[in-house]
Amino acid sequence: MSERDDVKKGDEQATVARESLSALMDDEANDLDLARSLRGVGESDVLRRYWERQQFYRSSMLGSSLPHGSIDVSASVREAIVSEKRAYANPLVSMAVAASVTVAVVLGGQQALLLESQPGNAITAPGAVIQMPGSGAVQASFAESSLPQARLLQTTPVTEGGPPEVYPNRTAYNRLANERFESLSRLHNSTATAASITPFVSRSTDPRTTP
Amino acid sequence: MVNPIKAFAIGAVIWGCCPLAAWAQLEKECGLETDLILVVEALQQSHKRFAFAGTYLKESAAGREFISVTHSASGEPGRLEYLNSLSESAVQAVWTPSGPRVSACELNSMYALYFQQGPMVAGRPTGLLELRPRDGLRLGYRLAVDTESGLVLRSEVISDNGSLLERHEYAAINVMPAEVTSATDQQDVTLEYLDITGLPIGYRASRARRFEERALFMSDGIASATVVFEPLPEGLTPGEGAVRQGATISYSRGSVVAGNQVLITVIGEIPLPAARLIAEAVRVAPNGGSQ
Repeated sequence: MSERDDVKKGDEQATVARESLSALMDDEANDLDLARSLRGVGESDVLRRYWERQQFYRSSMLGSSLPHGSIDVSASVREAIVSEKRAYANPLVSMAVAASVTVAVVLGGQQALLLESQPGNAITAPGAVIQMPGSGAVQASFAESSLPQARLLQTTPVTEGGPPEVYPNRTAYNRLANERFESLSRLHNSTATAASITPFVSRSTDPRTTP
Repeated sequence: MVNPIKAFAIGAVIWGCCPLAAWAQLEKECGLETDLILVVEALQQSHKRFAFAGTYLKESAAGREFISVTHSASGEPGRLEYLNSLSESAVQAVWTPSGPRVSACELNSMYALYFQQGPMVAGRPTGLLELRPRDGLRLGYRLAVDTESGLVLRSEVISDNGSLLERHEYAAINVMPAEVTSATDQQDVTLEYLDITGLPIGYRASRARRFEERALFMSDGIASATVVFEPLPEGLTPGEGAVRQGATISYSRGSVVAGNQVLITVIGEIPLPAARLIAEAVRVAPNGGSQ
């Protein structure tokens, strides 16, 4: 097969891939078109740039925003993957990265749990239906666990944060809730003991919170 | 080691707990094992039938406290002392839990109940009773229950995300059967419940005993919260805030109701969503009256 034949065959494949890509963007692609498009975009920079342009035109016509439309991260990603492979060749580096990822996942999970306790916006509208975070079914962990010793605060605000324009007085209310905790703990312990079976060893009021 | 399940069954007979056996018979209808029903009953009867003295450790994120407690089961208040505190309030009176009886079947509708052999606590064998909430509107509990007396020797309160909020555990305890008197063998307490729409599922409202004029009490039998009403401090606009210490949350909500600015505070061992729902439900009845 001659060099001209190879070029011709390459042009034909690019044309077919481009047609498949067009069909994909028009929501008319079949499975074969999808496979061709993915392979073509992966192998051809020209085709990838064509796809980006078409996406840009299409989004412009639809009037939607393009926050990332002009940024091609694929080359950077490839480069990063190659360099990371070289770095991970050192087992000590690999362990360090794995440990870092673990810490990030744990801390991220804790942050996500913290966010779970943030109030929904609907609560600021009196009488509105409240969509409560955490009001669905939960799977509490009853595995042996230890107390969160890192939380050394006497009291922990559980509704801090949120958009300041929605909760401008959140700090004042957290302070108020803290004051009421100190002044009402004994009353609550008294009423709860008198009106419920208690699952605790004993109810008591911390001397630090006794008014 | 003594099987705690058999021990509770034997205990029910030793105590002369024919009523317990009767309850167990009645409650088989909800499909729970007899042993589970017996341990729930034993837990509720324990403070009436046994006197005890001991020292326990209370732990939460707020700190660790060693507390000594004595209980006579005579109807008189017991004595409780924070051993590491110099405060005047280090010594407190402690009353016998005296709420209305809650059946295992009632609890089972809100908590998944599990019972198995428990650890040794303060040198005594226990059975481990777990109450896992069926929704996000109550906390979870893991209770090590004394096989002889039904007293809770260790309790752990677990949040809706599975973290441990508070733990109590006896280091040492002496337990003695109490003399059954007219004061101890009292009938079950009943509460007059208020009809308040919108409370979290399973919670019922009543006027707070001893504080009827200013507070309401909410409970599902295990989880409990007290609701206090007061005028909103001057200059504060409607809003909300909350703090949690150990298992107890204090949630304050400022609202305008019929032109009046009201501050509603919900304090209790409940999750934040439950506190919000309670505050929202009682907001329309700020005087705590029936609707």
